Amino acid sequence: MNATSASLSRNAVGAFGLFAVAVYFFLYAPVVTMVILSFNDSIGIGLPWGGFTTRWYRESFANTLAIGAFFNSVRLAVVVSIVSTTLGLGVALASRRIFKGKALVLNALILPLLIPGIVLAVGQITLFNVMGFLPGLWGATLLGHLVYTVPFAFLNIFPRVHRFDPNIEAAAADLGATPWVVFRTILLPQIMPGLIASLLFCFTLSFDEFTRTLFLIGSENTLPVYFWSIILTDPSPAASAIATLSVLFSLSVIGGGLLLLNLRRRKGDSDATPVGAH
Amino acid sequence: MTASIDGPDLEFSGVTKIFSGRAVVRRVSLTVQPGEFIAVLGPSGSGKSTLLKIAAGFEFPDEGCILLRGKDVTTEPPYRRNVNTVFQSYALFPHMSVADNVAYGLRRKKVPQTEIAHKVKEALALVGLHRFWDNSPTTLSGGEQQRVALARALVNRPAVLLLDEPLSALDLKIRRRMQIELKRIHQEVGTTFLFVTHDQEEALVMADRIVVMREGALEQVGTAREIYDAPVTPFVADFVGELNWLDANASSGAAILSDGAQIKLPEASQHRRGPVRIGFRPEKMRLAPIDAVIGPQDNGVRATITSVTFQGPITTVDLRLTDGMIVRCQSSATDTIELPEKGGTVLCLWQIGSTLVFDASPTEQT
Repeated sequence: MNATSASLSRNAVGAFGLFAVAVYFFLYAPVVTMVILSFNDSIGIGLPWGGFTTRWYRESFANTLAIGAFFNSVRLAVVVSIVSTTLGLGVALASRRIFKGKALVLNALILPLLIPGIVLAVGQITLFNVMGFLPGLWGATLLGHLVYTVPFAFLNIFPRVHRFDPNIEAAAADLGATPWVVFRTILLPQIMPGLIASLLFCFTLSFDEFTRTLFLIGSENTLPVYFWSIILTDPSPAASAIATLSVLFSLSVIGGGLLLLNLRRRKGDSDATPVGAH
Repeated sequence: MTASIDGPDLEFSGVTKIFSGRAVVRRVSLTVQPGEFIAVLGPSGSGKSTLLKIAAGFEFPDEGCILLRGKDVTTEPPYRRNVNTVFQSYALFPHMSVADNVAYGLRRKKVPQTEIAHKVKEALALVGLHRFWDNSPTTLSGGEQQRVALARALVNRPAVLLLDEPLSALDLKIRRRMQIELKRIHQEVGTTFLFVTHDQEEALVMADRIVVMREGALEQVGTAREIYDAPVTPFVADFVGELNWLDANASSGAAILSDGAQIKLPEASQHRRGPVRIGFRPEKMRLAPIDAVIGPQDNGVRATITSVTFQGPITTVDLRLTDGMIVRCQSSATDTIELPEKGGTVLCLWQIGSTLVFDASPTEQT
């Protein structure tokens, strides 16, 4: 084999291999366990195995509370991903200019990533209370999620914007493109992968968010909050079924996004129909 | 050829640009005639690139104005000016094909699709890249990318084509070829070229007129011959080509070196008195045996050879005058066959007519 593995002792290679297997086991075994248990014909989560059933899935699809919580989560995640990607793009574009206190502004944007979610959530609920801003899905929770996701949006978009040669935009302007056309035909196609990544990232961050949501949502539900409540009050295999469906949904969103990115890369793109070859 | 209205294509009138308190372009006035190939030559920091950016509309002057075919465009943004730029970094659109790059300007002007295809084809043929139609610019070599950038700008038939050190990123051989290529394209399309460069050879080879800039101001404007043979300042003399400098004291038609040797001054400088700097080009100098007679048209000084360097087509000889000053002689190899060896003493001869005389101002030293 190669020089690296040849220079390691057999035992070391074995130990590393075992470690790698362990990592993958602990990454995926819980998910697999949950999926298996969602088909268990038993009243509680866990073993013993009581036989195969699809009853928990049928129940979940008939559960209006769960369905309502799911759609709340999806709608919130869509709004959060679009708004935070737009804001992230705005900040990334502003960061190309030189202005006083730029480093401070950018660092202050990233800093909340280092603060535990629960700390921010308590701070937010307290502040919102003082402001007379009631807990709920579209007010407090939306704001709480945005504070959480905008830094991620910025971090996804900024490198693309930052490494883009401003001369290329100058060339477009030189060839007669107004600032908006330069943005649409030159910058946007180049940073699109960053925007799509940001949308996907913020969507899943919001869709899976639990700690802040629990504090900020009041009497409404998102899927993670609903999941938490049934685990506390009625831990049946239905919870596993809901969790499995939720994971499937997240994976399909990410999969779809990655597919989209791949298609774009293959196709290449241009402003208009390509000039026909002669 | 598109001979438009009468009058110049481009006119700078008293243009000044100030960056953080420093004037990087100072009261520049310059008129560019239709079809001219102008080279703006200067060292880095001379303001030549800023002047180009002002013409393109990427910078706006603090004073003065810019006329494009008689129309004042001083405050117009780049996308409303009939000029196009070839950037030093090429600045091609990486996500578009070569053809789409070239078509970009025509699309902005809403030229019909069939006409675009025709013009793009023509422009790519002009630069010899018609086979690269569908390629991504990222797959092309530096020289090829440069040609795409040229086609992308020229296809729009701008009033003036601005070129910002377009060849500086290419290696020497390709650069030489592109110089000839650019000149051919200039003659073929008849578009006015404003070419910014720090490379004096490039300027001499290509331009109809050379504009030498220094510290934001125009130092001299003239043809290659005028700039080379009759530089108006020591800066121009030094920047374009090599020069031997001698410090001397002028009186009654001659300049006296510190060891008493006499340099005869050309007609136009006979009136000079006091400290002067004498310049003459290394390739205008020839070496003769120490006992040779100095002709009436020549200047001659004695010198000791300190080194002889054979460089193929030319031989460079470094010499020290008796008062310690160093001069250099360059001649084609055949002339130097009977040269004395290093350490020998010879007579340096050059024509009085090719003697340059300047004020001895200490600030002019570069």
